[in-house]
Amino acid sequence: MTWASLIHVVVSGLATGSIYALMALALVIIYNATRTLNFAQGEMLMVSTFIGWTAQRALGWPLAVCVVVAVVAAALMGWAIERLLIRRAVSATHWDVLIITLGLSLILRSLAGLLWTHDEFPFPSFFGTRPVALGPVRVAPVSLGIIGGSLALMTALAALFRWTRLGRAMRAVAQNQRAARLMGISVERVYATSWVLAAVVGAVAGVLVAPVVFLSSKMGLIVINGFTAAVVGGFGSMPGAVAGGMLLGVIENLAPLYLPSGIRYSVPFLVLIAILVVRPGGLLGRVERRKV
Amino acid sequence: MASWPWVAPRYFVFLASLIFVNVVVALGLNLLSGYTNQLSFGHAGFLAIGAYTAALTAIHAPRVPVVLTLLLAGVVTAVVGLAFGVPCLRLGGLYLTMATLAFGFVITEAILSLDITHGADGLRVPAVAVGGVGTLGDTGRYYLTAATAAVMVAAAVNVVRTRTGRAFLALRESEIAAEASGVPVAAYKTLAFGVSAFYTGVAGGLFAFVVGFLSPDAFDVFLSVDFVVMIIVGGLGSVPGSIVGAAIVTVLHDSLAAFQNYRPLIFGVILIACMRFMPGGIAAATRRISMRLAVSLVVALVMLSGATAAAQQGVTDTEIVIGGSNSFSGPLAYTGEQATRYGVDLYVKVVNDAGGINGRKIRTVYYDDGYKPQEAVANTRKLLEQDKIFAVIAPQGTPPVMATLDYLEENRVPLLFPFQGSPVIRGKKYVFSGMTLYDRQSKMMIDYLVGQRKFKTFGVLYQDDDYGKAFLAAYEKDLARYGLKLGAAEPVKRGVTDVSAQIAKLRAASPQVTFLVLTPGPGAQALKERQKIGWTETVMVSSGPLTDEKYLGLAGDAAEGVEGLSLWPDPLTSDLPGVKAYRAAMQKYFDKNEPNRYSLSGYFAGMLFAEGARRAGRTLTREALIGALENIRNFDSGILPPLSIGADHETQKQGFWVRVEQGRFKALTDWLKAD
Repeated sequence: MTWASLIHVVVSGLATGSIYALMALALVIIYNATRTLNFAQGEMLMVSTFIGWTAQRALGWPLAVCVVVAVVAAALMGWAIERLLIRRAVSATHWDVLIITLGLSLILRSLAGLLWTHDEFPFPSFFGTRPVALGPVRVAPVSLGIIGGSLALMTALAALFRWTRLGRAMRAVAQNQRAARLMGISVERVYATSWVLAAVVGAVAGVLVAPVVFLSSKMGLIVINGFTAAVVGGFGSMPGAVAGGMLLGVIENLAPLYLPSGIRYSVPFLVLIAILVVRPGGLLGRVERRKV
Repeated sequence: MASWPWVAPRYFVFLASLIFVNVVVALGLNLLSGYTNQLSFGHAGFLAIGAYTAALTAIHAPRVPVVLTLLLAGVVTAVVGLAFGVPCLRLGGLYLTMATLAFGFVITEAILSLDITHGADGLRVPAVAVGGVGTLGDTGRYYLTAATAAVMVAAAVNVVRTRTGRAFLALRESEIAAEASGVPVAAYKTLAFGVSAFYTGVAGGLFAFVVGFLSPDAFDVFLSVDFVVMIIVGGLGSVPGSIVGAAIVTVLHDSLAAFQNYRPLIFGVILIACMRFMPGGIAAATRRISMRLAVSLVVALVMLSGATAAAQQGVTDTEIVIGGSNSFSGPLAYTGEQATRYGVDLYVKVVNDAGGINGRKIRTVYYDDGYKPQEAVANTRKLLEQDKIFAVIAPQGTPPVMATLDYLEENRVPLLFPFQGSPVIRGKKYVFSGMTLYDRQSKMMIDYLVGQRKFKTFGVLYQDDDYGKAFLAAYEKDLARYGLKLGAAEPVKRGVTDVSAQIAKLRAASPQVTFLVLTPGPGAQALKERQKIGWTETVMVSSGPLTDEKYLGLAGDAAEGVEGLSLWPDPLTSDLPGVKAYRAAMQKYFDKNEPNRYSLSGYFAGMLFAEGARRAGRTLTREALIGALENIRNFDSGILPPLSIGADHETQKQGFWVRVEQGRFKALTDWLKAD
């Protein structure tokens, strides 16, 4: 194994990891607002990507416009789901919402199959797959594009949370809902915004990854890696989600290089269990351990 | 209740057995979730441990009484569960849920990679032996599951009423309050986890005997989800609720199979409706639900579904009924739908519009199994015992087909042209193969590449399941005939997002030829990955099932120059009369559906069945059909070369070599044969 190919594999892993990181971020945004998991995150990604693709195929719009279509569709979907299904269930146990999103993921995948079939489709990309030389290393523009696109979105999110009024409100709700409400923050609006934001992050991840893994009703399964990444990084922590995603992407790619085929695919989950046992709060998360 | 297996239709005896298995799982899960408030998405993993423990005991120590086997299954699962659970129990609710989710994945990976479990090939479970005198049939298994479930229910009722049960409830209401009241929280949480794993392990043992075939596909995360749904629908923290929930979800699953690709949709809607309008489950909705009500509901549900009875044998004066279990959801949903609804059914429409076969029209019935062997078993039994089908046509995938093989042979039902090529179906009296079997494909490929093209070094990138592994074994065997070996073999997990590491490793071995034994998505990804790293000094060769237009379309310009074994003529451009007729029929009946190889192969399966049935004559029996198919000589389909089927029941043994030029497959050879 040469250094050049090792670097290629790592860069490729970082590209995959960026997608996991975006999925993890989307999950964490919703978790921070509503303290629940969104099992339908992957299917929301898949459906919005399909909508963008349909705009491109049926209407012949340029790719950039179709990305906007996908993002807007995602935002509407996130808003509608929160308004119609989640809001009324939020006060019950944290499982209720979990099960509702599970049901939703079945419905969305099934609907996508009925509308677009369960077939796989090529998805256009802004970036090519033919390698370019970067010093001594050859890398594919598509990998760099995914990493760059994800980093740009992450930076925008960080800025939003840090410097805007809305971001501060979202952080306040994540910290203490009751106190936030008493301070005059509209918690309901934060819920809705969180769902919209998470859906939008998912749509961008979908558009970035679809040229690589192809567009299909199955692509939502990527959410499982997003979960793993979020927990490894520390559920609730946004930098943790990014670190967890990147780490997972690279580990997943290095495992086949160095480990026998028997255990390589268990590695992400073994890492997850190990982290939960050794450091349950995740890499960068607050240790939320209650003494029992 | 104890006498109804003799009066009830056989299928419902089987379904009732499944319900009892699920009742035990639901009880176990409810003890954990409903009583101590810890949700688990890993119970399919526990079920798998119990199932494999019982199956392996039955295989390697057939003299162990079944009660001990079940006990062992429970104990092993409890031990594994505790080993995993103890460190995780200090995690809060959501984290424990995540850990159990990961546990489920680790277990399926372990089953895939261990030798003793036979990996992706699956494990056939022997029938339950009774004291050396015989084996248990459907009725016996029904009593076994019913008795076990009764014992487990009684035990659960007692646990719940004791000090332990009250401690569990205290935990659910508030851990802090419980601890303040002197309940040793950690000990009781551990106990609940162990008991829950034990219950699920015992259920796993029953599952193995009832279904008769195990494979890792059976125990995916969606099965864990079903279990969670059972206790939520039934009612958390309620023993009667667990029973009712298990019964409802099992029956629901079974009856929704008929809705094929609408099944997950309906299931999802029901799930959300339950949460929105009945958050406490049925137990809370009907406040004082008694044990009696729970039990009678189980019986009523099972008996109620018995209302639909069908005709005999599948052949009447005017009709022939055929059908199969197939994937309309899950990883192979597209192939399944194309092969049946747009393939077999396409030819059926053609034949029926032309007057049918010897005066009879063909009707088809399909049920969705989502690629799970246990559902394929349930569906196939329902097809045979309820819908009374004449023959099974074009089921898909090795694990689901394998799971139904013994049952169909036992009942002497023809299994026609399954959409899979694993040689394990060879040599069965009632089975006729569909696509050219993988070992024959391998032989053609190696003979051509080594014999004619003089290649010497080979690598393979294969899907890590029965399909990939069957090819891997065949390649090794065929290369050995020439004194050659595979230089490198890299597995790819189904549904993987990145194959860069595998391609880098293959490149390091620098083979002249790299075989791709994958499905279209990962196959195209491999080609793009090769383009990314600029690896040109190998010939990429696709296996028969991969060589299709879908894979080309996904790969785009990365596919140029790729070679492969093609099993079918190009469905879009071929001028062969049979392919033209296929396209015309597609245009006429399903003008929105693009021609493709999956529907073409289903169409061909329909054609072959029709030919056999026609030759069998007006008195159509299963034996007559088999005789007629065996005697087909030089049948010209206009799609494949003239076809003869003999006593070996292999309908196809051919393929031809292609290379991709300007985005289309171009034939390099005439039909190759492997006899």
